[in-house]
Amino acid sequence: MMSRTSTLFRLASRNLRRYLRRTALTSSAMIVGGALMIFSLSIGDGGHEDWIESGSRMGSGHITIQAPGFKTSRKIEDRLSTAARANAEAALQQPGVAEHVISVVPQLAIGGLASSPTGARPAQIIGVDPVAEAEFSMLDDRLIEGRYLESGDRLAAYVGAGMMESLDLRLNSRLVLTAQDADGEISGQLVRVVGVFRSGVPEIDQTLVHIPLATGGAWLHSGDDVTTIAILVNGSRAVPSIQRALQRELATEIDNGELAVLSWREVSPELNAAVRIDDMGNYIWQGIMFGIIALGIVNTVLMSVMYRKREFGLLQALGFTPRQTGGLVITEGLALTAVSGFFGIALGLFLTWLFFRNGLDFSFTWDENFTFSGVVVDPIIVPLFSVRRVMQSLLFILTIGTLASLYPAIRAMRIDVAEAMKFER
Amino acid sequence: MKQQNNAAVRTEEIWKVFQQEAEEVQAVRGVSLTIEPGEFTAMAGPSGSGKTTLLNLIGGLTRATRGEVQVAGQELTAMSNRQLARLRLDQIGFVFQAYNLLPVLTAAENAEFPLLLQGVDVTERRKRVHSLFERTGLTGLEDRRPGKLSGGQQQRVAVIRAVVGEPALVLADEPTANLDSEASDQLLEMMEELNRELGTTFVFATHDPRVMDRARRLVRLVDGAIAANEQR
Amino acid sequence: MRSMTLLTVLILVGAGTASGQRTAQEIIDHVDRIMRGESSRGVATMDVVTENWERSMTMEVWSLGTEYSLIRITAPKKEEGTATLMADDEIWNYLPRVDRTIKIPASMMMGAWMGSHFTNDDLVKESRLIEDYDIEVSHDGDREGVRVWELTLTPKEEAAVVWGRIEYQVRQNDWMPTWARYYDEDGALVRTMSFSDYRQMGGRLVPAVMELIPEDKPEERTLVRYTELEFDIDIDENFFSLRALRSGGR
Repeated sequence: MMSRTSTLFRLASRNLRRYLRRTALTSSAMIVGGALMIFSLSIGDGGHEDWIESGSRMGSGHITIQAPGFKTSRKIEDRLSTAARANAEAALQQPGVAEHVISVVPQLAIGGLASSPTGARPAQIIGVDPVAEAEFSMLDDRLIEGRYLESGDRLAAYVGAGMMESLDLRLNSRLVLTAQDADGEISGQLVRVVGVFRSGVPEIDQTLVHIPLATGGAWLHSGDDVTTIAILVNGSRAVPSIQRALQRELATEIDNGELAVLSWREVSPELNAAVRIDDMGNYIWQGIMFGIIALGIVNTVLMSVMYRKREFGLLQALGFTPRQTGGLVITEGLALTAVSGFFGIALGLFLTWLFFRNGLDFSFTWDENFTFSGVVVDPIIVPLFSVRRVMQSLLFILTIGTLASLYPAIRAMRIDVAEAMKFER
Repeated sequence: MKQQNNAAVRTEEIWKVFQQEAEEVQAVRGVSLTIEPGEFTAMAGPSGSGKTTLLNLIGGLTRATRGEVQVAGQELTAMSNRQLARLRLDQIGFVFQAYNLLPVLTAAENAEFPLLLQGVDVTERRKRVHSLFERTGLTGLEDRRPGKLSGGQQQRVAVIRAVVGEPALVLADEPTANLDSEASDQLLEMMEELNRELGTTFVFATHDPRVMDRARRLVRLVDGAIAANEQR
Repeated sequence: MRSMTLLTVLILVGAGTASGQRTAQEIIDHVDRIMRGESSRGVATMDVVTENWERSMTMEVWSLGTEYSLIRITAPKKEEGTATLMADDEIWNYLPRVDRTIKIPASMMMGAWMGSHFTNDDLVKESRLIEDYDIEVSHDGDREGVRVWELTLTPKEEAAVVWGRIEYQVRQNDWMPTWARYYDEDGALVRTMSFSDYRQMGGRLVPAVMELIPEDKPEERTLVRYTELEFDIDIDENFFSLRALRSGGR
C-alpha cells in the first residue's frame, strides 16, 4: 500500500532522527567512504584512459581493422584487400560512428630486420602516411633529434633511441630494412634516419621504425595496400559500441574472412590486463573499507533495534508480521546508507572536480618515465567522471546497506513479544 | 472443522510451562474458559497467578505448551506467526499497562495504525479516528506526540487504537496500574461505554479492585488455575 | 660462408680491352662466386672467439643455388644434430635435444648466426655484389711481392646494403681474394675478412680458410675452414625438406 510504505518510511526516518548522534557518526563514515570511492574510481578511470590513449596513439588506435590472420603472423601476405579496405573506410563514415572518430590512419606494418654495419636487430616496421600519422600518433611528439617524416619523403626512417644505440646510428645514417615481401622473397630496402624519438617504452624505442607508406609498398610489392587501419575515437568508453557498429556494418566481410575489427583490448592484451588488474586492486581496497563501514552500520541499526525491543513487541502485538518487522529495520538501515551514500558520492564528485579537475600530480611517487606494457604513464592524472561509475557506486552502497541491516532485521523478527511487553514493577 | 460456536474466546485445557534455568515454571495449568461476545470480563489474581500469561495466550503473544485456544472461532495453536499477526491485526486490540504508543507518531497516527496496516484509505481512517476522539472527549489531542500527553490520555488513545479496527476482542493488561484514581475512572468509563455501544468484548488482566468492581464477570486465578468464576 | 649458386662464369681473362669497370666487375663476380656451384656439399669447422667464450663446431653443408641450403652440426656432441634449413626464403631450425623444429620469422633473424660474427644477412640474402656496388680498381700492382688488384666497391644509389664501402684485394695470378674490408659510411673500418690456405677442392681453386675479424673487438674472430668440398653433386630441391632437417640429410 502506498501510504503504508510512506508511514514505514516516516517511522524509519523519525527513528533515525531520534538517535541523531549515533546516526550522524555512522552516516559520516559512509559519507567519507562514498566520497573516497568516487574519488579513487574517477582518478583510476582517468589514469586508465591515459594509458589507453597513449597505447592507442603509439600503436594501432582504439580500434584496429586488419585481415584476420595478421595479428599472429604479421606478414605482408595477411594484408587487407583493396575491396576490404574500401568497405572498411566506408563503414567508418556511417552516422553513429563518424562523429566519434577523431582520426583514421592506414598503416603497412610488418615484422622484419634492421641492419647497420654494427649488426642486425628485429624491427617492427610501419609504413605510414606522414601527415595523417603525425596527427594520429604521439610518436612525433617524442622527437629528440631530427624531424618526423614528411610527405614527399621517400627513403626516410623515423627510429627509436634504443635502436639508434644498438645499431650505432646517427642522423642520416644508412639503415637496411629486411623483410619478406608480398611474393615471399626476402628483400632489403635502404633508408636513412631522418629523425629519432624516445617514447620511454623500451620495446618501442628498440624496434619501432616508421617509413613512408609508399616506400613500404614499393619495397614489398604491395602497392597501395595496407595491413592495418588504425582508428582513434573520442574516449575509450565509446569503443565497445563503435566496434559493434562496425562489425555489424562489415558483417559480410567478416564472415568471408576478409577483415576483423579489433578493439585495443584484443590488440594489446597486456594493456587490457593492466587496466583490469588496476581496477581489481581498487575494488579490493574499497571492499575492505566498506566492509568496515558496514560493520558500523550493523552496529548502529542493531543497537537501535535492541533499544526498542518494547516498540517492536508492540508493533507485533498490533499485527506487524515478522516480515514487516524485518522490513522496517531494513528500511531504516537502507535509509541511513542511501542518504549518506548519495551525499558522499555527490561530495566526492564535487571535491574531486574542485581540486583535481586539472589533474592530480603523482610525480612525487613515481619517477619520470614510468612505463609498462607498452605505454608511458603521464604522472599527471586527470579524473574521469562517468554516470556508469556513479550508478555502480550507488548500487554498491545500497547493497551494503541492505546486507548490513539483515542481521539486525533478523534479531528484530525474533523478539519475543510477551517478554518485550513485560512491565517490571 | 470446529465451526460451531461464535464465542469470542475459548480455551481448552490450556497449559503454559516456562523453562527457567533448571526449573520448570507452570504459569498456566489446564485452564478451560469460554468468553462470549460482548462480555466485560476481568481475570483477577495476585502476581504470579498467571493472569498476564493467560491473556498473552489468548492474544497469541505466547504459544501454549498444551491445549487449545480459539479466538473468534479460529484455532491459534495451528497458526503460523504470520497468521497470528493477521489475527491480532483484525480481531484483537491490545492495551498494555504503559508504553502503549509509538513515540515517533502523533496520537492520531498511533490510533489509526491498525487501519493503516489493514489498508484502509486515508479519508476513512481520519473519519473513524476523529469520531472516536470526539466521542471520548480527546479532540484537540490528535497531533500531539505521546510525550506531550498525560498518562491517562495515553491510555485512552491506546484504547481508541484498540477498538478502531472493530476487533472481536480487546485485551487489556493492567491498564490502570500506572494511573491515579480519576484517570482510572475516566479510562474505565470509556471502555464500558465502548463495550456497550460497539459490543466489543473486553477482557482484563488485573488486580485493581476498581476494575474488578466494574467487570460484569470475574474469573479468579490462583497459581495458574481458575479458582472462581463469578457473574455480576 | 656464402650460399652456393651456379651461374655460368664467363671469365675473360686478361682481355683488359673493355672499360676498367667491366674487368673490375668480373673480378669481383669471380670472387663472389668462388664458393658457389649449382650444387655443393662440404664439411667445415667454425671456430668462434668472443670476449666471453670460445667454441668450435664442425658442420656439414649442402646447398643448391641461392635458394636452398642445409647446415647440420656434427660436432661437438652437445650440438650434434642441430640443423638449419633455408628453403624458399624461409628459415627453419631443428633442435635435437627437444626434438623441435622451429620456423624463424624474418624478424627473428638477429645478427650472429650461431654466435659467429657472420650475420643471417650474409647467409640468406643473395649476394649481389656487382648489382649493388659500383666497382673500381683502385690499385693494380705489387703488394709485398705479389701482384694484386685492390678494388673499391661503392654502393649504388639506393642499394639495400649497410656498408659505406668495401675493399677487396685479389691476387692477379689466380684471381684468389686475400682480404676484404668493410667500412661504414663515415669511412670507419668495421670488419675484415681474410682468405688463406688456397687449394684445389672439388675441382676448383678455393681459399679453404676464411676469417672474419670485427674492428671494434680485435680479440674476437670467427674462422671457417673447409675440410671437404665437392661441387655439382646429385641433389635437387626435394632434398631440402623438413625431414632432411631432422635426419641430417641421410
